[in-house]
This record gives sequence, structure tokens and C-alpha cells, in this order.
Amino acid sequence: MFETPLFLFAAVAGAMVPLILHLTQKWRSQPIYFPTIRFLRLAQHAAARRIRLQNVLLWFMRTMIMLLLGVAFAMPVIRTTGGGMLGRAARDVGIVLDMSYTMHYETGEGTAFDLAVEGVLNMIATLSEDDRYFIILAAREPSALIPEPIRDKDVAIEALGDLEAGYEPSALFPAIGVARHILAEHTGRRLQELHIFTDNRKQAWSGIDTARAEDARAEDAVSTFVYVTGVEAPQNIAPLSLELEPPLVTPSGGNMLHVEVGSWGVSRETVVQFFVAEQEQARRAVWVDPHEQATVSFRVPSLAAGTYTARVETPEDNLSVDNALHFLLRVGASVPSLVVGTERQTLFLRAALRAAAGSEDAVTHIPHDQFVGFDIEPYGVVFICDALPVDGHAIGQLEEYIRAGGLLVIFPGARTRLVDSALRDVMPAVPEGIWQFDENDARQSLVWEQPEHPVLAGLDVLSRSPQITMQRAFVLENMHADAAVLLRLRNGLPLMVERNVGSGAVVLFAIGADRGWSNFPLTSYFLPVIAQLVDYSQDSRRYPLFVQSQRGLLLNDVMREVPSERELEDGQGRSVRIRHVQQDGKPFAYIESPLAPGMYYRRESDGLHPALAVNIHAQGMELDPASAPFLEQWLQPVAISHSWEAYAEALDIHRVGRSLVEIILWLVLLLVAIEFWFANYLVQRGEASNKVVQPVSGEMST
Amino acid sequence: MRNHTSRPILANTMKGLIAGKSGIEACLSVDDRTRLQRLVLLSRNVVEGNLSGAHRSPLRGVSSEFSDHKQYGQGDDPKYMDWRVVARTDKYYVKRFEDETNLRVYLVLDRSGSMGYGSGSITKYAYALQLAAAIGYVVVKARDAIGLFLHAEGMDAQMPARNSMQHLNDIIRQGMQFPPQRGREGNLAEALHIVASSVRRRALVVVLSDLLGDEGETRKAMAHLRKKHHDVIALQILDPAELDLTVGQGNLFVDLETGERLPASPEEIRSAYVASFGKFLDDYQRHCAAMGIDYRIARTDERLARFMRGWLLQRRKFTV
Repeated sequence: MFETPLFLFAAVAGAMVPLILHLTQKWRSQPIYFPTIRFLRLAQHAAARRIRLQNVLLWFMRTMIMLLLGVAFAMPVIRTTGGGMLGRAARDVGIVLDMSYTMHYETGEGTAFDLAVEGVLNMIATLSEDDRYFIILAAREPSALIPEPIRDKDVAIEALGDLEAGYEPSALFPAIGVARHILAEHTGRRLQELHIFTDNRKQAWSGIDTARAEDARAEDAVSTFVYVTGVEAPQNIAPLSLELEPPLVTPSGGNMLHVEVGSWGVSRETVVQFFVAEQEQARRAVWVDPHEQATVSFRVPSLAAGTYTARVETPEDNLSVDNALHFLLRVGASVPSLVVGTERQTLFLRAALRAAAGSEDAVTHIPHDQFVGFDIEPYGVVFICDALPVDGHAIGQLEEYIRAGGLLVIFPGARTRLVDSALRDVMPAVPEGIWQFDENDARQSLVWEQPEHPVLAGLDVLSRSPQITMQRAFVLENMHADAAVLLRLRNGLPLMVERNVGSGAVVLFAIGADRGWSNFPLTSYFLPVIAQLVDYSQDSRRYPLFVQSQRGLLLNDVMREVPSERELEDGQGRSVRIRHVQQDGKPFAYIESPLAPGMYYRRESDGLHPALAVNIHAQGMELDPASAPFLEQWLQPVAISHSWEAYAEALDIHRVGRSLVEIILWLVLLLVAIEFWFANYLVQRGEASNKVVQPVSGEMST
Repeated sequence: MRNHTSRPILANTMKGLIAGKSGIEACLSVDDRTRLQRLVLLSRNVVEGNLSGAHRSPLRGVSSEFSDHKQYGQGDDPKYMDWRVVARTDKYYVKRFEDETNLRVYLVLDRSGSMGYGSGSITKYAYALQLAAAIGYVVVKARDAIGLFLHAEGMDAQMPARNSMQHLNDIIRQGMQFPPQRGREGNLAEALHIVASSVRRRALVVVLSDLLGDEGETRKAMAHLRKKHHDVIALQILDPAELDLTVGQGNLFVDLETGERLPASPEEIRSAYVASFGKFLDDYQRHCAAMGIDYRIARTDERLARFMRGWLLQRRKFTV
């Protein structure tokens, strides 16, 4: 393709010049009188082929020089794609914009996201009037910013104007798939391009469906460009996760906060600060190696009952969005417990619960006939003592309570109907018979099957060899696959089994809670075990310390009560809209857009109350860039550019073509040099031959 | 002898000769003649002459140089009786002496069209005339005789061998009177055959030509001369431009003898020409050496006296 094709005529005319000169020179004869042409004829015959070749070579070089000069003026370009003579062809352009939280990385020229948006706008500006474009945002799930190909460039300026990078990891391949799908639906254009603007983090390219990618690659006629706005060697330190030990925080204090700190880039020492209610509690220095995680621990101060905002924080760095890890510190006075059963059967249990909670109010007792219709939702744990079976409505209520995160502890008794248990769907095992102990085997040691389980962990009795006196016990059969035996008698009978169901759990004992089954309620082990069960059920287990930023956050899973208000507020007074829906008669509340990291509050009459701590999902994030061979393998891009200049050049070459003017001019220069040398060589060879001639000496013939 | 009245083929055919003079004075300056004074042209073979001279003669006669004995026979001069032999053997023997004679030198001068060529200040024909004058001068000074055969296609002029400066002047004037003409081809072979037939007694034949004629026929004619026991000297007169084709600008060669035209660029065919012409000269040199002919190239850009001195001294060395 030529940008000024008229010069091709000049090229042809120029190419004729040497031939014309050659022909005109032929007709202008200049005689040389010579003694004899006999030897000249012989010489001409001998040199004819060489002379012809030399003449042809000279003519060819001179013709090529003139021709190439003319062609250079015609400004030829090589097109890699189709198009008209002038390289203008309508095209559909798909744009995939990486929205991952790593796009907040400060590169020195702006954040990676700012550079990407600027690149998108610049690229759109290069489109002609007939070109169309659409924009797909690559977050955890792809979404369309401009879903259909359009021509109006102002739409992109408006849509991208207020756009900010997301707060969750992104998945690029699904977004690329969506873009390819849209391009495939619009096949009317001759040319199709796919432009990916990303910081090229390795994790964003994970999750590739290799089979589909290979199919797409094999059939793909879409020209793919990758504009990398991220840095090659990112450096970042961030708190990744935290854990409270023990999980229940009470006014008595004594909890430890363990924080995992991750690093990318160089090894360095960093400082981790711990804040509660915006007050710095402590700071720790820790050395972190790249791609490693270091743990730093803080002691949680004694706090009055209530919910506190808290965070751990690392110093400001290039990726500041993940420097703070926010969480809610819920300090409970006690965990409310509900005990269902007769006075006699629950006597020791209630005593143990009151002792564990330190309050009479923490324990609610109802007889089993009042259980149906009783609101059990406010209670952290429900103890059922010889109250099985329960009627159908109560079964549904219990299952819902358990799946929502509640803890159900069952002490069977005489009322327990063998085999036929209405709670089979949530029971860890089925009591199928009663084992009667005689005097010889009444004394049984307790075997701690899973001492690391939260119910048993930390019990001092583990260090001793606890023994109880047994009278009878249910034989627990048909253990569920998810069930685990926590306590076992020395004769092998399971004493306590547990099964996680939904967000909650069910703990089933093989004995009753009264002294008619064993002396377990009378032993010193009973109270710690019951207290551990109460701790096991505490809020922190049901409601996480924080949530990760995500699209469509269901508040029912992360807040104690479904908020009735329409919005939450962040610390700066900005509101976040809460959407409410009803499903199966139950209200659900969710927030559609991913939340920015930070603390969110409920506005009540007495002010703001912490409701939600939101953090970026930094755990497992890999900041290292994906390799070029990887991208080439799965995308086969036309170009992978790290600057707008390189990207624009690749675009120009692809759309318009690679200019050959420079190459041709170099070629002309080379040809001129060769021609000059060759012509001089021929002349010098002629002169040299003069010197080579040795006059035949007239030696005396003898 | 044919009388040629045609005008010179080229206006400058005689360029190189001394203007306003004729004969030997037109060809040799006083300085040249002085330099040639001490030189002598010797024949390498036995030659026959009318007078006693410095050259060996096959005829037995009055001479101081003893040759052999012969038994006395009727008609022998008794004064050559060798009495010592008679006294020792009682047989009559007469002495025989190897006669020394004068040298007869015949110049065979080529005046074909090609001899009119001269790229520099002198044409080949003018140089040949100078050579002829120089050789004649040396010969006459040695009391030898000099003659001339002037030819082109046929024999144009023929002058007998005589020992006089006047005769030499006539020879040179004769040469100057018949310069080469364009379009006249040379036939050296025929001329040499005529010389071989004409000169009955052994002589020294000096061929002054560019030898551009038919090589085979020319070599046969030279062999004919050698068969007649003539001593033959072949001086090939060549212009420097003929050796290396430095002919300047032009692209159409015109043959001075045949008028043939050949479009060619000198630069393009120079190397091939030099190779081809060099082979031609080598062949001549080889064949002349085989026939015992003194062959030498005379470049027109070489000073005459220097050439003569080098040539004759070298020849003397081989002859003595």
C-alpha cells in the first residue's frame, strides 16, 4: 500500500532513465583508428559475456536506484490486516479494562488504573468515525461498561470519567471471553480488535479454561493488543489476615490478635500498627521476605462489652489500598443460652452455664412442651435435654437456626425415640440402642479423639486422665460423613460427636445431662466442656470479623440482624445503598456494588454504630507480572506494550502498516555505494590492466 | 620497382621525423649518429659478400685464418702448398683459408596501413624509418652493404645492397616517399618470399614491421628465409597503445588496413585484449626462437639510440 501512490509514476519514469541514457549513448559513436581490430574482436568475443553481465548489473543497479527512490517518495507501507488502498477500514474494537484492586498501584506516573483509563481514551481517540467500540470491565465477574459496539466517543469519556479501580481480584479471561463473544456477534465489520488494558498481574490471568482458549485461539481472527500499565517488579507489604485467640472477646480480655503480613518485592522490615476505635494500641516491627508471610501478634486490650472498630495497618507504600485490614471487635458480656428440658434433667447443665457465663441472665430455661414456637434466634446455643423428638414445626425452626450458624447441643434421654429421629438431616449420628454398664466396666476413661477441636482445645483436663462412672449410654450408630467423634469412652463407645451443618453445628452426647446416665455432670470436666461449647457458639464464629469486598454482598450472612434501613454509611459520611428482597417469606438484604475497604456504620438514633468491616481480598494475591510467553501462548497478541508510545506504534503499524521508506532509503544508499564501487572497480580494473601489461621484451632468440 | 604517388593516408604519418630534412638527417640527429658510431651489427650466421670484411664467409679464399687441408689437385694454386706437410708425409696438400667477407643487410620495411598508427609523438612507420636509418648507418659505417625492400600488399620498392652513405640516404628517402596509406593491407609473407627468392647469397634480412598480418604465412616466409641460410632479424614495431589499449575516448574502432568497424568500449575489453595480444606476441617470440630468428619488440615510445644500443650489444654478446 502506498500513501502517495502518484509517485509510482515518477518511480517508473526514473527507472527508465538509465535505459534511455544507455540507448542514447549507443548511437553517439566516436571512432578510434586502430592498427587492427583482429585482437579487439577476439577480446570482445572473450569478454562479451562478462561485459554483458557487467552492463546488465550496472543497468539493473541504476534502474533499481531510480525505481526505489520513486517508490520511497510514494511512501509504501506494509499492512498486516486488510483494508483499502489508504488503510481505512471500519473495525469493531473490544476493550477489556482490568478492574482489580492492584490497579491502584502507584507507578510514579499515576496509578496503573489511571494510565489504563488514559490509554483507553487515547485508543478510542485513534478510532475513525466508522469504527465502533465497547468496554468490558474485568473484575471477579466480568461486567459491561458499554455493552454494545457504539461510535460515539463521548460516551466513553463520560463512562470512564468517574470510574475507579475495584477492590477485588479480577479474572481477565472471562472478560476476554465476553468481549470475544460480543465481537463474534458483530461480524459485519472487516476488522476486529481486542484491546486489553491491565497491570498484567499473574493472578488476573489464572483460571484459564485451556480447552476453550485453544479453540478460541484456533478460530480467532481478532487482533489482540495488550497494554500493560503495571510495573515490572512491584513492591508491596500488606496485612493479609488476622485471627483472634480465643475467638470470643469478653471484658475480661486476654485475647491475642495474630496478624499475617505478606510481602512482594524485596525483603524488608516493616511496622504493623494495631488500632482499636482509632486509638493505636500497639505497634510491632517484623521482617518480611518476598512471597513469604510473617505473623505478628498483639494483645487485645480489655474492653467493655460492645462493638468496636479496629484495624491493623502497615506503612504507606505504592499499593496503599491494602495497607489497612479493618475488622469489628465484638466484646460480649456473655453468650445467651437456651436450655430445653425438665428442671431435673437440666439442673446440672443450667448450673454449669450460669457458672460459665457468670450471670443468671445468660441462661434461659423452658420445658420441652414450650419449645414449639419459641424464638430461638437470639440464643447462641440451644441445649435440648431429653426433648427429642420435637414436632415438625420445631424441627424446621431448629434446622434453620443451625444452618444460620447456631449451635445445637443434644443430651438424649428416656424420651428419645430410638432410630426414628426427626432431626436425622442434621444429626451427626443416630442413637440406636442403649449400652448398660455393669460394675466391672462402669469406670471409663475419656479418650480425647480430637484435642485440637475448638470445643476441647485449651482444656486443662487434657493433661490429666479423666475418668467417669457410667451407668448407661446410647450407642451412636450411622455416623454422618461430616461428623467427628470428639470424646470416646475407653471401651470405644462415642461419647460426644459433632457435625457442622451450614454455618452452625450440632453436638450430640451419648448420655443425658442428669445423673441417671453417668456421673459426668458431677465431674470437674463437665463445666469446662460446657463453657467451651458456649464459647464455640459465640458470635465471632457466626459473623466474621470482616468481609471481603465483593459484588452482591449478602448482609444476612455477615450481620447479626438483617438491617432494616436503606443504607449504610462509611466513615466519611458517604452512604451505601442496601437492597432488600423477600425470598420464601424471609427478608434478605444485600449491597450490589463492591464496597471500598473500610468501616461501615448503621445510623441509629443515638448515632453511628459499626456494622461492617470491609477489606480487600489480598490473601493469595500474586503481584508478579505474567510472562510474555504466557500471554503469547494464550492470546497470540499483535503486541504487548508497556508504554503508550510503543502501543500507539504497534497500533499504527497494525492499522496503517509498517512504513518501508526508511528501509528503502537505506537500500538505495547501499545500492548507490555498490554501484559507485562497482563502476570504479571496472574503471580501475581497466587502468590496472594497463599496468599489468608487460611489454614483450625482445629477447635475443638463440 | 613500382612508383607510388599516392598521398599519405594520414597527415601526420611521418610525424616524429625531423622536419625540413630528408634522408638520414630526417631520421637521425647528430647526437643519435654519434651514439651509433661504435656500434656494429654482426651476423650470427655465415654470410656471403663481395668484399673482404669482418663477417665470416663460406667461400674459401685469401685470408689469414686457416680452415683445413686439401690434397693438391689440378688447378690449385701451388702457392698455397703446405710444404711442412709435404716434408712430413711426402704428400702434396694445399692450405685452405676461411674467407672473411662484408655483410649485406636487407631492410624489409612494411608500409601497410597499420604502420601509419601512432598514439604518441611518432608513428610506427616513422619509427621504422628511424630504425632503418640507424641500422643502415651502423651497417655502412662497418663497410657493409645495405639494401631495401619496401612493401605493403605487394613489393613497392626494392633497392640493392650497397655500401655508401649516399645509398643509405636514397633508401631513407625512398621510405619517406612512400608512407603508409589507409586501407592498404600489408602482405609481409609475400614480401619475404620475394626477398628469399631475390637475394641469392647469404645475407642479413631485417624485417621492420608490426607483424599484424597473417601469422602463419609470415612464419612460413620467415622459415623460407632461414632455409635460404639468411640471418633474419624481426623487429616488431609497436605503439604503446597497441600493448595496453590506452586509446582514450571512443567506442568505435576502425581498422586502418581493412576499414572494418567494431563498436566496443576500450575499458570493457582492455583486459581481454591485453591477454589476447600478449598471447600473439608470445607465439611470435616462441616461433622465432625456434627458427633462430632474432625477434625483438620495438616500442615507439622508447628512445631510438637506447634501443639500438641495448639490442646490438646484446646481439654482439650472443654472436661472438
